Amino acid sequence: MDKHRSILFIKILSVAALITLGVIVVGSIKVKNEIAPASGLSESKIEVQAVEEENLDIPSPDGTYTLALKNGRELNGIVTQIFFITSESSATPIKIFEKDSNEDSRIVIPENTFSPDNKFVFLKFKDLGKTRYIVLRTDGKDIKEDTKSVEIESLFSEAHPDFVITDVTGWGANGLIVVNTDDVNGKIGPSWWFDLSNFSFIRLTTRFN
Amino acid sequence: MGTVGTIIAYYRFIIKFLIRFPGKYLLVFIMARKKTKLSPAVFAVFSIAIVILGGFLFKQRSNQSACANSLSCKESLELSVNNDEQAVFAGIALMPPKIDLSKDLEETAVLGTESQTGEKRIEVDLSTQTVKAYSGDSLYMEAKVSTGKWFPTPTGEFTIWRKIRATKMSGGQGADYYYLPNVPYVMFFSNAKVAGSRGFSLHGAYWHDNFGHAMSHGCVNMRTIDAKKLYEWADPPMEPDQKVSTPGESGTKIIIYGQAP
Repeated sequence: MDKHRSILFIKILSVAALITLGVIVVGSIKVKNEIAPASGLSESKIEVQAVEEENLDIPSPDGTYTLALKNGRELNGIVTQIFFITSESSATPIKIFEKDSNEDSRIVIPENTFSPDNKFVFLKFKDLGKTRYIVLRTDGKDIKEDTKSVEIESLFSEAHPDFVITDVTGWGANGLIVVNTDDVNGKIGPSWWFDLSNFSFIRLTTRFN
Repeated sequence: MGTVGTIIAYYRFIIKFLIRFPGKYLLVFIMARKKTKLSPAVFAVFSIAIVILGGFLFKQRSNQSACANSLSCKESLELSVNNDEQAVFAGIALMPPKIDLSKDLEETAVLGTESQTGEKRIEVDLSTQTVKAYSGDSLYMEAKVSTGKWFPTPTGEFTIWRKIRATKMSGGQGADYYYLPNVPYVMFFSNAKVAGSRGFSLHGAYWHDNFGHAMSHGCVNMRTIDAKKLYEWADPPMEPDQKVSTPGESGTKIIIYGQAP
């Protein structure tokens, strides 16, 4: 009698386990479907983090220039990221930047990357826990003496140690990058222009949220 | 004395006094109190309330009648291409992108005649700084925009009353002064409360690239490629050689909602 009971108990347990497994599998498929991207019709540039070997093309706001990112094949966690500029006026792509990045320091193309006159782009990456932003010329020439790029975060923290950059959102005008900050205590700080004519920061009375 | 009568007496007295004795403003309130026969405390509260109410009404009124482009109110409503004029924005001079109207003919077929079915509408969400265009239920396009920073973008339901290939916009003062020839792909909108003559529109913006963040004087700024796509899709339809839509022809509905961050 006890043996029969044990077998019946094991059978019930097995059926219950199968039902539970089934519910979990069906549930996970449903969740997967629900979190699928809403729409592929977006015209806006979306911040993209390239992970595997691939090419990405981001057009300038007027459509005359394109920033192309070519990610090489990942090797031991390192990817060679190469950035090119193509334009309507020149058929030959210009290589403007190259960097070996690991997963934590991979460069992303932010929204509003192009300056309004298409002479500069800015890129974003993480380095030692800090978000950094570099500015490059789109003609591939040096932006400063013997330097292809300038890095905004280190220049800012050196010039204004009382504030920390929270975001670099885009271009307020030709040669002026919008930088949002908080003070070191975490209180909302001002916005600044990063002025490419002399690589200085201009504090603004208005904040660009 | 009733409340309305008191307010009228108060204003009448102040205005009369200011006209007669412009140098003696400080005496105004003392004499006004005597005239209205209120106790000093009540009079003080009453005065503050009146001043606040007056300021609020004045601000409302000026907001309701101001043009989006204060220095080019009427001029902005007309077609204008000035390839050799310098633009000014944020204190920086720049050359606007050249516009060749004859080139448009090569690029486009009849405008505003996409084959998608359903009523067209454009939605602008001020809180997320995005524009979405729909044909019925299907999304035609979505893009980041920049709405009013120095002057609020009006909210509500509007229709496009005029499309212009390009125009000139100027306004602001001091550090906010702007002068912008060749503003491309302009779609003026209006409703019963916001007259078309005030010049609110969706249009391309070549002078900044900070879309997704409020950055305008009341209009809805778009990337030029996005503005072109929307302009060519939205009603009223236009022939390729037409640079201004036909007067009186009503266009696509625009719904603007939310609050800019």
